[in-house]
Amino acid sequence: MRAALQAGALCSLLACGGLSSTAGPPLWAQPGFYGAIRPEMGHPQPGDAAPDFELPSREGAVRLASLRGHWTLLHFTASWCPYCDAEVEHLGELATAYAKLDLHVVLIGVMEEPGHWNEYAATHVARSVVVLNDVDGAVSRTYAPPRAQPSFKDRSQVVLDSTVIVDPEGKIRLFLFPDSKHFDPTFRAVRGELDRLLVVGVASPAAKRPGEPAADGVVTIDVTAPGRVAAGEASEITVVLSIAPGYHVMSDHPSDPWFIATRVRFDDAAGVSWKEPRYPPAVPFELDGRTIATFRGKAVLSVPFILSRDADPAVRRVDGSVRYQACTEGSCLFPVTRRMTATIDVAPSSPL
Amino acid sequence: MMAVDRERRTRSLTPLLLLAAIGCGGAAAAVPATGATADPTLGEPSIAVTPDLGSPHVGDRAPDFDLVAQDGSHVKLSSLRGSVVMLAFVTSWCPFSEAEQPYLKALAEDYARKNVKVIAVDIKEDDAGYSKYLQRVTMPFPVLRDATGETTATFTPDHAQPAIKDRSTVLVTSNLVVDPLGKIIFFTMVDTAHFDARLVQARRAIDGELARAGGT
Repeated sequence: MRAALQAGALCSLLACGGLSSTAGPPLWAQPGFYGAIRPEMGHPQPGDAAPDFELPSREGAVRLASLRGHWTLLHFTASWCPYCDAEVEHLGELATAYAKLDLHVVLIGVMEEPGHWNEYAATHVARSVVVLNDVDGAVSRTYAPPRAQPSFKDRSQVVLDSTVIVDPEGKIRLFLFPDSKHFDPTFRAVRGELDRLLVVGVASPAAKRPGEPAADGVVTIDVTAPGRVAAGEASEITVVLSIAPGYHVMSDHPSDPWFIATRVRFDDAAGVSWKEPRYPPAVPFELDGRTIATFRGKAVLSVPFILSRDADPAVRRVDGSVRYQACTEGSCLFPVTRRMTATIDVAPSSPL
Repeated sequence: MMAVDRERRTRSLTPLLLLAAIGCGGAAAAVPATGATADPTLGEPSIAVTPDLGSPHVGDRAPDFDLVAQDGSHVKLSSLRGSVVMLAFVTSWCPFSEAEQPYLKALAEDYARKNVKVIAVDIKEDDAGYSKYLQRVTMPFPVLRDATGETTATFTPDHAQPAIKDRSTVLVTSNLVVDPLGKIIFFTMVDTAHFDARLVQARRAIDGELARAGGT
């Protein structure tokens, strides 16, 4: 037993030596980063793969691995935590400011009661932030280094108010615990680190290159309205997705529950009764030895509707959205919900 | 069962950590004194409430209060003159408060015969929160209920954690030591990056006060 302990200590010593050999003081000795993880706290450390997870969000399940190819900032929070609460509006500002640099900001509620959490998210968290709930704390525990806050029995609480930057390869690049002594709710130090990582471009070769398309760019949406439709009659709006070569989106019935299903819908509009959208047959696609259901090339979707008999004769504008996630064989772009409009020229109902 | 298991694991890790820290000594020589140590407790409290944060601060008289304990009895701070008082501001929801709870109990027990009175003030919680704190660890001292947060407000320096909007939560997991004359001789707020769960610094302050009292 004693020998085993000493072997453990030796490993720690070697690990320490390795980490201290980098130029300059360690991050946790630098202003703004006094809360940075230290080697002796254990893993996950910067350089390690960020533990993968899949958690429910406002818009369906989100899996960290689906964000490969993008920079991601994870922030763990709790609605009751005063420090976290002081930060949450600034997190929204950060998300908006860095969206153009392809940063996705993900806020993870630690063990929040779902109803309360959804209300908190709706009233406190900007739409620019992806909001997840780690209901049972299991994901938070995978991020809690074993020797950080050793006095905390519930290990899910260790990561509260922590910030983790994950690079496009899925590796942790910054792991910052809260530092109440130098508490700065505006994330100044984190923004500095993001500037260094995203703008100066020490990113790995797998990182998004400047010319790489955004999710909007790889799918073109063409909306075709039916033109003139008499009140009381049925018709449909077609929505054609033209998917760039090399990319696919998941079908309306994806092969895995955590894949983002392609969805088309139109908003409620007076006098228009929308029916169940129709999707084309899925295109099978071989990925990692299994077949997944996708759309590739052109996918023609349609949304049938019936006008009520008393619909006002006029040119009506209707708004809708398409949600999809575009992927290549190797990586996925972030899921997007794109808005679209169509017009229906409502003619007077034909006499009975 | 789980909790006991975890505690045992933590304890068995201590020698390993100690060795690791010694091992790191050489490599860490090039880095500032904030380097790895087995005991993360800083030499001096990191967030000590000093005059620049506002009042009250170390050196001021502690504001008086009269609050109700878990057994229904009233506790008035000024009635404890003549004793050293350890005053801890707590809530059930704060993980730092939770972590300190067993150490606060141990402190009370260790100093019970030394004329040191320990008091916790539970800040602005509903019945469920207050009960949760009381049931987690049976505290052998008064856990007073500041249901409105008004008493806590009299202890909250204006410039402490200015970013925190709900001012009644600024002092969560803050600790004070009040001398036998009612003067604040130690006042710290939680330092999350150098968390002193074991209350090492509060114990030092109490020991210092007891030594002074014994010496005169």
